[in-house]
Amino acid sequence: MSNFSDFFPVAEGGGGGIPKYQEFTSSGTFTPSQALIDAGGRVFVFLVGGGSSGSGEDYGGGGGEVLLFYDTLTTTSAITVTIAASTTSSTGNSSVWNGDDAGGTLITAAGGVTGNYGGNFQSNKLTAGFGARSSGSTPGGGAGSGVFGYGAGGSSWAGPGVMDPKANSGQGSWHQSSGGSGFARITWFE
Amino acid sequence: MENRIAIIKNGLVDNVIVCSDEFAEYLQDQTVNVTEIDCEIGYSYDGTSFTAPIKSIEELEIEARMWRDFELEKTDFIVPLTDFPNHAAWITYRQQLRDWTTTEDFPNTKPTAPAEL
Repeated sequence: MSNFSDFFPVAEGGGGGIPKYQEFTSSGTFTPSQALIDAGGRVFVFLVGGGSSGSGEDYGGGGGEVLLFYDTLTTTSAITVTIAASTTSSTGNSSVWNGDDAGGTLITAAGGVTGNYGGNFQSNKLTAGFGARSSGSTPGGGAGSGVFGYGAGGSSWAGPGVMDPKANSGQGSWHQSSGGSGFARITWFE
Repeated sequence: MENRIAIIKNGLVDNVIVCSDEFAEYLQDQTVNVTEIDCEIGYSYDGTSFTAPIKSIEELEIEARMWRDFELEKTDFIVPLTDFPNHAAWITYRQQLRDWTTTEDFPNTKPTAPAEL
């Protein structure tokens, strides 16, 4: 029989143990502990932008950008984390990790964008789900699935996708509903 | 219902976030509670009320052409189906779509389809 620590040995000088985490369904602050800074200041951030609402019956809303990244913090100053609100607009709101408040990096998960007549799109974004498209009663393409369902695209009249997004999912919606609000989860060891 | 806070920068809504009123006061940017107000990214704010962005004539024309192209695409399948209900009216509608950009109705008044598809 093997032990977990055979494959993931505890690092010298710290690390290992049970990960700590803090979730944000509303905006707030994350304050790094001195123990976290002493352990190297490394945090893992899961950040989801807000989804957008569909445009007419033929275009589903775009999912918010889903970002998974590491940041390295150097001070115990409080970090502002803003969470995108839901919206009935074709432009989703953004969620922001202000890691630079504590020596890290400012990173934004952009809101989803709904395509308009020329086909749905998510330009220059990582892992955001595009909304579905349909032409009359003909499906023109299903929506993107996002990451673990976060940031999935919204449905159109005949194109499969998310109709009514779950709160804090960053999912796009169909045109008579609101794009999902954003989300953040910070994970770290100390 | 979530508590919606608009973040205002240079008189424009830069973002709308989920946030408590207490946390909004903590933020350094100008913030307004818009939970009960129609307010989205890009709206202008004069210190009292929010106004949706006004589109330029160029933006309206681009959107109108995209809509026209999409309508033609949606109705392509009707052309060879001579027994399609109101076939002649649909063919006339498609011609109106093609001519629309050269008329005074463009881009504000769209040609009317014979029926919903």
